Amino acid sequence: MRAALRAAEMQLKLQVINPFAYLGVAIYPLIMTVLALFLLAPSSQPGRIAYAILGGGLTGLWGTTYVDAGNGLNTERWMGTLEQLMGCPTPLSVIMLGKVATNVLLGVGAFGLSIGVAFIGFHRVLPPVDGGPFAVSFLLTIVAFFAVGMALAPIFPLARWSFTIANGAEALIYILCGFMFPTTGLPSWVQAISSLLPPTWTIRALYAATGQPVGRDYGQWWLTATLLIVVYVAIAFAFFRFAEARARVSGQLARA
Amino acid sequence: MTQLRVFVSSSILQYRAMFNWATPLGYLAYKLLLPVCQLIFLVQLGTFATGRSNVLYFAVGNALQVTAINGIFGVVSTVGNERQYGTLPLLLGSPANRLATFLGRAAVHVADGISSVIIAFAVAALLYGLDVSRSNLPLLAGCVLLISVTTCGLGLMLGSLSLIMRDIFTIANTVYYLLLILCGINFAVNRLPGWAQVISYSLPMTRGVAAARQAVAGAPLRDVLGLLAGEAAVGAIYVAIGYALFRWLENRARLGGLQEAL
Repeated sequence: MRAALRAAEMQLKLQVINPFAYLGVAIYPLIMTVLALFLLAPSSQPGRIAYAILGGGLTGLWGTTYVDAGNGLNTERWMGTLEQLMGCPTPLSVIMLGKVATNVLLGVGAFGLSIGVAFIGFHRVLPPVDGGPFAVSFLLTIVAFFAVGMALAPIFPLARWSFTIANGAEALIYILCGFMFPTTGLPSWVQAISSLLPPTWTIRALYAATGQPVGRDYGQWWLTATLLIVVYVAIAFAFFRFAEARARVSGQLARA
Repeated sequence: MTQLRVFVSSSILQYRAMFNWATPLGYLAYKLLLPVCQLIFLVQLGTFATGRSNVLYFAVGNALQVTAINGIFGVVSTVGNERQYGTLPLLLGSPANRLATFLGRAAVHVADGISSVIIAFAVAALLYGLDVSRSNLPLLAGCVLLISVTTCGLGLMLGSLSLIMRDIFTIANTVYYLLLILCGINFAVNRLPGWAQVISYSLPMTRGVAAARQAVAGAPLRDVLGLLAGEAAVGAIYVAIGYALFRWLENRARLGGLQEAL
């Protein structure tokens, strides 16, 4: 626990002085929010503005959770400190727990910026929300992102191309999880893949709480998301053990 | 002749540098995964917001925008990485013609950017039924070439800035994503506020994308000549600014004994 807290503290300090982190937390979600507002604001269905405002925040939350966590490990590789990180007695999973948790919390700030730019720049506000379901769905969304981020993080030390893949697939997650439009419009085989990702269910619940016509099955969505979160966390810890063992056996950490 | 040799060798070295560190899988991710996912996401968002009837507007715009991946990130990294890898003092100390070196670095990315657009158009045709059988294909090809060159001009200017900035990729990313809003990729430029339209028309792509949309619709060259001339002029200005900036910073580095131009 102490090691995870120290890792979180260190990650926070590194992110504060890292200009690239501001791209994920502030600049990128702002740009995506503005783009979506230009597209959705003139819509004949004003409630859809929620997809621009919350969707912009979600892009920031995902970007900081996963891409910055991966980029952080890639930076360790570049700086020559990845070996020390892997070689120290503290398990990598504990260190990444702290790092990813910090990134998730920083990513939450993107929602404030999205709401701000919608109000100041476009004089738009979120549609009335159903308070209780919205709060539960929002918290579960944060946990879901954390779980997926943790499950994918062990890939980064194993191969240097992994961050390129992560960066390239960023928009794929937006599509699969329904960040800015409902997944119900996607082909059924794509929806089947979407259903395996915990954020899909929490984001659906989040938009339902803003009055979007996506159903009202909160209980079922939350339960599915929670089960998937447990599975992803279990996969994460198993995958971390595999990654550490593999790195030691191959001895190819820096150039992997 | 020497300048041509420098240009060619700079292009070849740039090509080798690009593939030395990048693995085939990583390159494919940038070549396919990033542009295709971005294209699909923005087309889906656009059609969700405005209806299926506009699907080709979003498909064409976003297919053309992928050239900026090479034009901005590729070109910026070729200049910016000199600093990161510690080879900038060697470059500044070499007697090679700077303009040939400068443009040679962009040439590979122009070609790579064009191939990215071709892939994006193929995806748009496959997924969204983009039909170019009635398009003015030679004109469309010319538009794609021009857009690739002009975005590389923007990349060269940003790359020069990397000589005095350690975190140019934050700015490069910001510019790249701003192009989605400012250049008529996802909605018409006239929907932007007046001040933003001024920025829009001072950026590469804006006129090029407008011309390419007309070429897709089958327009003849005379209809888009003004747009293409404007696009070429904007690109030339960015190359000139980038080159002038590079030389100024180089001289500043020499005078001040600043090995990394900072």
